[in-house]
Amino acid sequence: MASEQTRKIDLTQLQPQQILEIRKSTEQEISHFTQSLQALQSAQAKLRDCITSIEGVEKSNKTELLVPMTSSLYLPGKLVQKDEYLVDIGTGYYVGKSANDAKVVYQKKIDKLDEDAKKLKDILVQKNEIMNSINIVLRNKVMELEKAKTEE
Amino acid sequence: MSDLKSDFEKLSLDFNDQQNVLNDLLGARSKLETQLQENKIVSDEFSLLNEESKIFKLIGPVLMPQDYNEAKINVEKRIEFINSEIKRVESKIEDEKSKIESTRDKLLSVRSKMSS
Repeated sequence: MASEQTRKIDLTQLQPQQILEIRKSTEQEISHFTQSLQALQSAQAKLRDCITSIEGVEKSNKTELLVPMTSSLYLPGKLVQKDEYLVDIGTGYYVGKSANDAKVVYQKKIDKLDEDAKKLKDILVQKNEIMNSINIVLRNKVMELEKAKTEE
Repeated sequence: MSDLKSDFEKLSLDFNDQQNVLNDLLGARSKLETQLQENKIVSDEFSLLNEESKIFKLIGPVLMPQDYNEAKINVEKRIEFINSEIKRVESKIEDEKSKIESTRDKLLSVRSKMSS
């Protein structure tokens, strides 16, 4: 928090040009973090899809399904066994797991992403506060300049 | 005067180059960090498994069966490798930062000479 304090003090002493630069970089940071947040959320959605797929297979009594050969070509297939899944655990490794274990893996990943998303949101709130204070300082500067002009 | 000017131009070109190099290095650093995190997740997962677990590795379009101990050692080696790469890149980043610092000092001194 100390660094933010010094930053606030610095701001009022800077030239408007420099404040604009800072605002630009803060804007970039905010959009970068927003993008990361969206990426996290779409990753979570994919993981949730995995869990619902497993649950779907578990619930249904039928063993027929359509196997995608390409994105637009499907062949009818049959499930031989329902309780073994190959789970992608990252860097190209896949592990055979039971339905419950597989769900645990995905749930853990979702929870981890939740944590990260929370951290990111905190950062975004902070950055937005900085952005607001930059804008306020900038507005004051402009007003000062205009006042100085009319007094001349 | 023209000497100073050409010095100034050369230094600012150097400065830009060095900044580009630094940006590349920082990009490489964050890429390595991503890989490290991913490998750590895999390694954590391996520590929950045992030798009876069925492990496969995706090689091209084929899933190859893997031995548990072998796969575990492989991932640990990768983490080691990535860690040493991170150290290497970080020392490069420090070097580049000090280079940029010295170029900036030179730039400033040339500029003050030019204005005087």
